[in-house]
Amino acid sequence: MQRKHKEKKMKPTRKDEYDYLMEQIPFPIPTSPFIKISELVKDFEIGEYIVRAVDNVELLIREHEYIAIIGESGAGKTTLLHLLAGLDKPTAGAIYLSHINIIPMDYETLATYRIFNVGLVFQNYNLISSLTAVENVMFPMQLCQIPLNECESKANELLEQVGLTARAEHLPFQLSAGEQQRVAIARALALDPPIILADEPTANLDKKNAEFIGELFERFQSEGKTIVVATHDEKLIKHAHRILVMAEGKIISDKQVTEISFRDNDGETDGIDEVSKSEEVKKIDEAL
Amino acid sequence: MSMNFAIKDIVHHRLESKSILRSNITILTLFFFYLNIVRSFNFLTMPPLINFLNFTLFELFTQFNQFLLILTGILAAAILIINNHAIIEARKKDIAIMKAIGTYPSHLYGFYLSEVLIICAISMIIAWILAFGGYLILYLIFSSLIGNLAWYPERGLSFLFMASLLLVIFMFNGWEIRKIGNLSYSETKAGPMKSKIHAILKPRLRNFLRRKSLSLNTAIRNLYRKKKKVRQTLVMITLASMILFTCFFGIFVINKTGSTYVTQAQGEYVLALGNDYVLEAYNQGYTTFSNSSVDPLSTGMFLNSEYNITEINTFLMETLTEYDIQAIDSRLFTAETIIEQPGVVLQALINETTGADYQEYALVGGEDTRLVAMQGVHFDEMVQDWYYEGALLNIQNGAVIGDTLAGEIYESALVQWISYSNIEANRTYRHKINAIVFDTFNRGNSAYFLLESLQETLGRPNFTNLILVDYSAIMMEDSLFDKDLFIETITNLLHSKMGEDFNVLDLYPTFQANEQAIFENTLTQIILSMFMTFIIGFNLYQFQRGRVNDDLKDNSILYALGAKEKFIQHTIFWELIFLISLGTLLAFIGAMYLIIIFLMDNSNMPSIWVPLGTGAGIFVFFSGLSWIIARRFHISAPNQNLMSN
Ligand SMILES: Nc1ncnc2c1ncn2[C@@H]1O[C@H](COP(=O)(O)OP(=O)(O)OP(=O)(O)O)[C@@H](O)[C@H]1O
Ligand SMILES: [Mg+2]
Repeated sequence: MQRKHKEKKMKPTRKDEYDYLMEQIPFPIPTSPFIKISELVKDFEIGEYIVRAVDNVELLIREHEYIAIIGESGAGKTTLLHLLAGLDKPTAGAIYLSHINIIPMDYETLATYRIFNVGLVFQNYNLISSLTAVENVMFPMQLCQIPLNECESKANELLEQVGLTARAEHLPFQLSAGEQQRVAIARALALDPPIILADEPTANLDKKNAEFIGELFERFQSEGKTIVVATHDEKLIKHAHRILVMAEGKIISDKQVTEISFRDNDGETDGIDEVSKSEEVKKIDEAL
Repeated sequence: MSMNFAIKDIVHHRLESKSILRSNITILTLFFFYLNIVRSFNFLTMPPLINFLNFTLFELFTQFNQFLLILTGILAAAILIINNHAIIEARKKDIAIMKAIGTYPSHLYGFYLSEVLIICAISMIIAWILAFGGYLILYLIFSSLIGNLAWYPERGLSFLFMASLLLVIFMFNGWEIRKIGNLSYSETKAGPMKSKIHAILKPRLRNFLRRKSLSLNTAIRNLYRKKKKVRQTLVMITLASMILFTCFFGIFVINKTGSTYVTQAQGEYVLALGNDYVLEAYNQGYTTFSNSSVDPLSTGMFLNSEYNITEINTFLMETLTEYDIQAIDSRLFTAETIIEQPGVVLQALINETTGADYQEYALVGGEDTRLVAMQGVHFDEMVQDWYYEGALLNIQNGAVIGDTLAGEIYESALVQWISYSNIEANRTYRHKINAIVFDTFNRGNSAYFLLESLQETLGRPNFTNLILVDYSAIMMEDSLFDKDLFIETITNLLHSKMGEDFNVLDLYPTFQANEQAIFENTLTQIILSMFMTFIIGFNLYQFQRGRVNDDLKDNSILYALGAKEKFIQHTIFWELIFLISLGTLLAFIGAMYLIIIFLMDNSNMPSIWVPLGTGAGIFVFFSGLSWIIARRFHISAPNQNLMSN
């Protein structure tokens, strides 16, 4: 007996939507520069008082670059990363991702931008409080309609990489800060995003784990990801190609690491001696 | 210092405080307003003298409104307690921190209890003023337009309610703060979840979820793990839908019961035959039911021998058989003052010293008097199809009385007696009461005796002054029946045999007016219910929005991970729908149970589709609200929510 099969209307997946968005761009996407930040300003108004968290930042980030942003507390690192992730609107300026300005995008488009481009690790982890560790890691994949089995195996694999297999079924509040941080890292990697933005990802980790995360990031970089980390941790800094120093919302130094010579034993953090400065950065340094 | 802190804290959390205040105030206003209005419509307690409808119907209306008022009171109390509890719950972490830095427990109580009580007291004051103002406005509108609303504002009950509620909240939250104070710091991290929760889903649920959409998945996991919140919301939704259900279903019951009573107590298509003087009085007796400005019957010359209509009987029967009507209802109708007579009941008592039980006869009832409509009838030939208590029998010495008479002056009518005097003969007679009927005649102030017995006691052998003819059967069966011709035929017969001042009166218009009165009362209830629906809907809406706001951070994280607004809206909607389904179902079962126990005693049940339809309506209403709540969720300032801890 023959049965007529109704043509089942397929709902467009997030991937389809993204592809569609990309098709709308009239020119071929060049690979470099990958991210361009120009004249970026972010003010927070608290009544009369205005905090300029990000102050006229100009920055070019090439593909496959591994950038560490350092700077004292309140320098604006987190704010800058959130702006890069499209979580907040700047007061002025533009952020180009492959020549597309993400600033005028609406919140919907930004969500799509994020899911295919950015893996985010928050300073305060921001795990979904009612989902377990593994569910948290699975979530971005599920958003992309990846089959459940794949999501599960990938999530477990990621949790295994960060050493949390045993805690997979626990809720965020039942995990220690460091464990939450590792879940957050695993979640950021879930969809294999080309860009990883990590805000102090090793702040609560012991030396061994921090080292491991550093190596993990290095490996990702070598696999072709672009990584921006705000950190004070030399274990992360030492893998970086480029080190930005922020103070009061400005980038006051931008050093390209050509040769790495850390003096691990004397504990001096600023062991980056032999660096070659880019032209612009030299100018900034002179001005200071 | 604690006052200072409390006020600072309220102002600091002003968004939350505002929404809690709004929710508290609306529900309290509803309660106080309803209290005032129900008293003014005289539907909260039985009036000393019924001047409208009759005793049973009044009792039904009163019970219904009391029931609603109690439910509203419970809802108001529940909302206030839950809301205030939410304040404490939200400060869990602050309380733990305070404790950690060495705050004395007594200070903790001072800080947070005063905060809760301040919010409560403010809500109560504002709500009382609003309710009173609303009542005043309504009163002015009513009394200028219709002119039948009594100024009867609430004095004691609302203050009693407020005081006891404050006390409950004080104790409940004090206990809660104590409990939180005993939690370890790590336990406070659990937030709305249990600190020892085992988060693994049961395999069955897990399998169920595998095939469902991600938003449904997220919603169910949320509900599954935040059980405490789910419980509170469920209480709210259940109570709210229970009130709405009682409101609307109760209206159906009351309307149905009312019109059934009227039909049974009066008969729909009835002709009254008699002298104009008697007919006028008889019609007046029925009109009093729906028109409070018509006086009840007073004594008159009903027993005048000129009004005797008995001799028409045989001629009338001849005519009526042509119309297939086999029986007539001949009566002796008059109005007299009756005297209540006490009766005896057997009481079971226990001897306090020996503990042995024994029985004792006790006298019940006094000797109140009232002017009532008296009728001598044959109980098996009456046009009425009475709804009654007791036994309707043709007993020589028995009497049947109307429900208002029984309810207002008798204590235990079915064991008592009724007596009246024949002034001409200077003799007094008394009859045992056999039954109480739900009567619309003369607002239920009526007494019925066996025709021959009344003829004898009043010294009027063979005297009847009223004949009732029920023509419903032909109305129903014969579509070609010409009512006017029928009435004309009988009128001609009366004129030729009895004289021009004997006539036929169609009681159908009076019946319609009485039915209309029931309908108008129902309409008042419907308007009140609409108002309640609006307030309760608004309140639930506020409450749910508050819940959505509580989850703002999680929702912002969903967004930060790349979920679209639509997705989050779906998640919110699923969560609400789940709670609403469960809540309305529980409310349906609970309300049906209570209605059957409290309201069904003397009432008629409509078909099963009415409660089901009402339940479905409430579900749709709440679902609509949820849809609006979900749709109104928008991502704004996600960054700010993500930065907070
Ligand atoms: N939502 C906000 N409202 C007001 N001011 C804010 C807000 N978020 C950040 N700021 C201010 O912006 C400045 C930069 O904050 P940001 O979090 O980016 O610093 P940071 O470099 O990440 O510091 P840390 O190393 O301590 O995390 C700070 O002075 C902070 O007070
Ligand atoms: Mg920061």
